[in-house]
Amino acid sequence: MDSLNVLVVGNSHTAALIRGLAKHSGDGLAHRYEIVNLNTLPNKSEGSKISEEVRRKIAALPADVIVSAIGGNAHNVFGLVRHPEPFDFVIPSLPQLALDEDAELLPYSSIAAIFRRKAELCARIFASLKREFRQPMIHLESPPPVPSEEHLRAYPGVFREKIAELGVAPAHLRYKLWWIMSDAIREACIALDVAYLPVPDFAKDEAGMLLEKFWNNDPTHGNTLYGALMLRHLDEYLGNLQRAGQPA
Amino acid sequence: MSGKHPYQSLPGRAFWRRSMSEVTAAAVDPVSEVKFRIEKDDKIVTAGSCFAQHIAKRLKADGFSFLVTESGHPLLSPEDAKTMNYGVFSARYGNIYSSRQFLQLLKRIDGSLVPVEDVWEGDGRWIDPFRPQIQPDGFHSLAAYRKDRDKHFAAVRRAFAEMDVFVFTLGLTEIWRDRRDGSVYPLAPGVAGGRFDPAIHEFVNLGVSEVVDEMTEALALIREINPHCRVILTVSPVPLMATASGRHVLAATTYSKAVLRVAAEELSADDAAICYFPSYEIITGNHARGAYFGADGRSVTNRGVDHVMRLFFKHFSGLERTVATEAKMAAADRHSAEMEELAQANCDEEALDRG
Repeated sequence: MDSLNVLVVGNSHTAALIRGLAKHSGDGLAHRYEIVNLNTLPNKSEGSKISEEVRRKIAALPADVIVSAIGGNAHNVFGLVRHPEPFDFVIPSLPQLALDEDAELLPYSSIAAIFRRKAELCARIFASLKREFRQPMIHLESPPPVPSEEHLRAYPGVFREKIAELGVAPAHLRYKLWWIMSDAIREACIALDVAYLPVPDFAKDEAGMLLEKFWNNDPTHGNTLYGALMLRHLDEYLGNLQRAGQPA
Repeated sequence: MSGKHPYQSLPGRAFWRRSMSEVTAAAVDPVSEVKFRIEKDDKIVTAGSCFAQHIAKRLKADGFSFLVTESGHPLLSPEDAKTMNYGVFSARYGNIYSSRQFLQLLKRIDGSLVPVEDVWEGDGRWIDPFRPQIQPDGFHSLAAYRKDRDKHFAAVRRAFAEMDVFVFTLGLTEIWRDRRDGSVYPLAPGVAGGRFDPAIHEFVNLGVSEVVDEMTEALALIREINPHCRVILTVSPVPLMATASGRHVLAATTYSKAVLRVAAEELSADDAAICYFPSYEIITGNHARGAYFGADGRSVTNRGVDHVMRLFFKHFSGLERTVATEAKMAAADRHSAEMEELAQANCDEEALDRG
């Protein structure tokens, strides 16, 4: 099998991948990885498309496959900190998930619409990348939320004041918001013929949330080990595609 | 040779020729003296049948202080909030068609009435029998329903306590009543939830004395919590969507509107704080020649609502807006605006004629 040049572009979730690659470089990865954190570039996007600066940066790097770790934090905007007017909702396909009966119950369709609008922003960037580059594209699902309130209080990051003021949203709500955001991004990927690589089950606990060994010392990202795990996961996925005779 | 007679000194409005035949339709003004004025900072609460939604919308648009005490969650988009009936009226009570339904709401918010049939359950959804279309798809749990209803009752109490002016539009006389405790439903059980059982649910068509008595009691309850509020009564010009009276729907409409019109007259006749406003006459009067109704002969057009609200503002607030100004304002896209208005007038009786 040929070793592929894999270019990963994204926002804050690339930090774990970069650290994971640095710490575990050569640790059995079949492909070569270059990871670009767009947040470090002064000009990431121009309206709904990638900026000329990003376009030139990507074009200058060898890439057989482009992998997106773009976005993936919209759920934290709505649900990391307890909302001043607590809310909850039922996901029709997951009715067994916990529900906060004291919160205001909002229709699933309303919440789904919010995240569809958020996913449209990502979709525009994906479409822009696909217009500019011919390589196949894969999007990495963002890490599921950390279940532990204690951990979030211990490492509140930029949310320190808000968490101190309002508290942490219930874990089940944070999971639902992550799930619904992932679902919206997945739908956008399908529409744009972008492959969607979910977080493997072995990175999650029974409730579908991030296992403790992957928690970072901040409230929203995976740690170095998580970055390394996702790179291995991606590496295996690409290998499976090659074995199946499919382009990446 | 004619002598002096009582009609000689009457104003022009008393004569058909001078106030109807010889004026343009848009200039017809059947409002006599109003009993009080409304200032822009007076807090106004509206309730009643679906025509009251038009009034609420125009009050908001014209910068009056339309009091809303029950708002949607901040995460809801404006469209979703509207679908969930937030902001349509001052609180999320939905359309209140009859005097008895209104009285019942007042008794429920003060806890003196707890209906036997307080919730409908079906297919894992809970529906409020007294606001059956308030929550699209119903509530997901009994607890969610109860929580929302408690919040709603608190919002209604607050609206009635804080308002300066209350605009109530009487809509229907036909009601469906629970024989067990006399509770009435805005829509017959089975139409938008619940199950109709002729052994339990009966049809009642209210008469004038019942409407007057119920409204008198309801307004007395309001004055207990808000002694100084002023009340404007109107009668909805919107015909019945369907009748269970056995009569033709047109004859049933005429009966219903006649009862409500007489009741409004009686209620306002001797009370300085209750004023009748003739929106019914403005829309249905001969001057309009039916032009204030849409193609279905039932929906009220934007032009009709314009006429009603122009006179409303003129008489209650001294706000003069000429017909020409209105025409200019609306010229941009009259048709689209009317179509939107028609499409969005949210009458739950539409459910009666589905299928």
